[in-house]
Parts: sequence; structure tokens; C-alpha cells
Amino acid sequence: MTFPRSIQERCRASVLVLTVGSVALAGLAAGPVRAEPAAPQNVAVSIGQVKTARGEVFLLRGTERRPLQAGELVQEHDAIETGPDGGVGITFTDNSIISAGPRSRLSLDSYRFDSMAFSGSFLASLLRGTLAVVSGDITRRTPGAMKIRTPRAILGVRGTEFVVRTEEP
Amino acid sequence: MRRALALLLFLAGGCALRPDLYTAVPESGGLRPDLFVVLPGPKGHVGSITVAENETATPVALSTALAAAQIGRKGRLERVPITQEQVDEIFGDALVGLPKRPQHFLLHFQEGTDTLTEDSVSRIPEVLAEVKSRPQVQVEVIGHTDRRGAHDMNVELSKRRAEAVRQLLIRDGLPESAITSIGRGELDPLVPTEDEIAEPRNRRVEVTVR
Repeated sequence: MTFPRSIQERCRASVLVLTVGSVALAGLAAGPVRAEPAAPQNVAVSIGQVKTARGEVFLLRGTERRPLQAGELVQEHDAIETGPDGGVGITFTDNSIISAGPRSRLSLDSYRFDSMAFSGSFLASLLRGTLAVVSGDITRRTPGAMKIRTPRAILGVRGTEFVVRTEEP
Repeated sequence: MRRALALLLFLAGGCALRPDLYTAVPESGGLRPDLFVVLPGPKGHVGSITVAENETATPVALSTALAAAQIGRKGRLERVPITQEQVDEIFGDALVGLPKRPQHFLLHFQEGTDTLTEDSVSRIPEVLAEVKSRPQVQVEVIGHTDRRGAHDMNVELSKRRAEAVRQLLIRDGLPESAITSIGRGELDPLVPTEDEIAEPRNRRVEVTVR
């Protein structure tokens, strides 16, 4: 059985209001409890830090797209884009370092690193542009545990230094 | 049959005139857009990567300096010669943006204490200089003990050692937010020993500056 369209829409609208309302409530409730306002929430999930940035560099996180600067922290699932004169260098928690050249798009698909066991895995995709990599502790412990995808190939990294170029299909 | 033979001869003749149709090696400088190159490390160390067209394809191993592969015109992976000059030209911008490599330091401690050995005290300026040389710096401090003494006591001691180094860095102006510091007790000896063995090389703090 299908409801008339208008009812469906009204239902959806009220669900939306309810959701927005509860988010606002949660925000109010959380507000006074938090003692230090600028607790760096990123720290727990950060997987690396931007060390070098020049020209146009953008961070894509969820639906957000904004300029990315040196010193900022990156997370799993982030993507990074550089403009025609752009470039970005990142050092990860496993001590691997990467750098994307101009007109590049890199996405940090998945990253796990246990600094106690020195084990983990790292998957990134270069969708266009150039990338230079010096692999770190993840591949030192488990050769092949770092992988780089391009639109037409998949790289297994045993170590340590290499470069990749690709373009969009 | 004769016509098929004629066609074959015609095609072969065509190929002879168009070398790029059958040779995997492109003309000089004619590198394809999809390119993968292994570089020599700073100490002459060469690593290796494998490249495949997909998860099920047989990978090509690249394991010597400047070993390279590309996706050819027909979408197949092929080895290709490349020079350092070509690498610099194509990847210069990416290579110049590589962050400084992380640097590791080992600081040692007097037995049962969070007091640095004389030798390690003299190395502190080097650590601080490395920290200052990096505009966006993060420092990881991990304390350790040898296997002499109770496990719990050693966890505490390793934390105090890490804290001593952390305080040195903070006194020198490094913001607390740039430092992570933990103690691992006797769990991760540099030199494996039996329990209850005093081993100076394991009484240490590992500092990684990145």
C-alpha cells in the first residue's frame, strides 16, 4: 500500500525536523559540560600531519571541501586535491612520508597502525597527478601491507621509495 | 587460404613500417601517463614494489633503482626504461614537497632512575636542534626499562623516564600538544634478555621527531 505523495513528504519533513531538533538538543546538552572548548578532537583519529603545502591544496572530508594548510592533521577517508601550482607533503604516524605534486587527487582510503606492534595496513588511491612515497613502519613489519591504487593499476609496497603518475580514466 | 596469407604479409609489412605497433618500448621520452618507478634511497638502499593491472593479474616486481613500468597503449602493464633526468622532470614537484624524514634518537638512563646517563645528556642539544629545524613538528617519546625489578614498577619507571624527556622538550619551548609520551615498561627490550637481568641498553627513551 502506498500513501499519497503529500503524506509521504509530510512524514519525511517531520522526521527531518525531529532529527534537527535532537541534534540541537544534543548540542545544548553537550555545551556546558565541555570544560575546554578547543579540545583537539582530531588527535584521536589523526593518522598524519601536513608538513608542506604550497599553491592550492584542498582537503575533502565528508561533504566539506576547504583549503588545507601545513600543520593540519589528516584522517582516514580524507581526500586531498592540489591545483595547477599546488603540492602537499604529509608524514604519517607510521613514519611514512608522501608528497603529491600539482593537479593531483589522493584519497586516504584506509589506515591502521598499531604503534605497539608496529603492524598495520595503509591503502591510498591516486586518482590523478603525481605522488612520491617513502614507506614507513607498516611495510617494515609487513611488506605489502601498504597499497596504492590508481584508476588502472594496484601497487603493493614492500619498501621504500617510489613515485607514481596517473591520470583520470 | 592464399588471401589470408596475403593479408598476413600485408599486416607484417605494415608493422615493419610502424615499429610502435609491436614494440613495448616507446620512443625516447614517450612515457605513458600511468607510470611507476622505484627510486634509490638516500643510503643507496633500494626497495621494491609490485604493480598489477588488478587484484587477480600477475604483478610485475620492480626492485632495482629506476626500475619502471607503465600502462601501455593497449592497457597492459609493461616495463619501460627511464632516466634520472626523466624522473626529475616528471616527478620533481612531488619529490621537492616530500617532508623531512622522521629522525630517531635513543637516550639512556642510569639504573632504576629517570636520570639520563652523561652520554645521553650530551646528546640532548642534538635532539632539540632537530626539533627546532622542523616548522611543523611532532615528537613521540616512548620510555622503556630493562627486565630487572617488578613488571608494574618498571611500567612506572618507564613513564617517569618518558616524562623527564617530555619536560626537557617543553622547557625548550615545544608545545605540549606536539608531544605524545608513553611508557612501555620492560615489554619491548631493545636487547632481549632473561627476566631480572640488568641491561643498560634497554634503559632508554626512544624519541621520534617527525
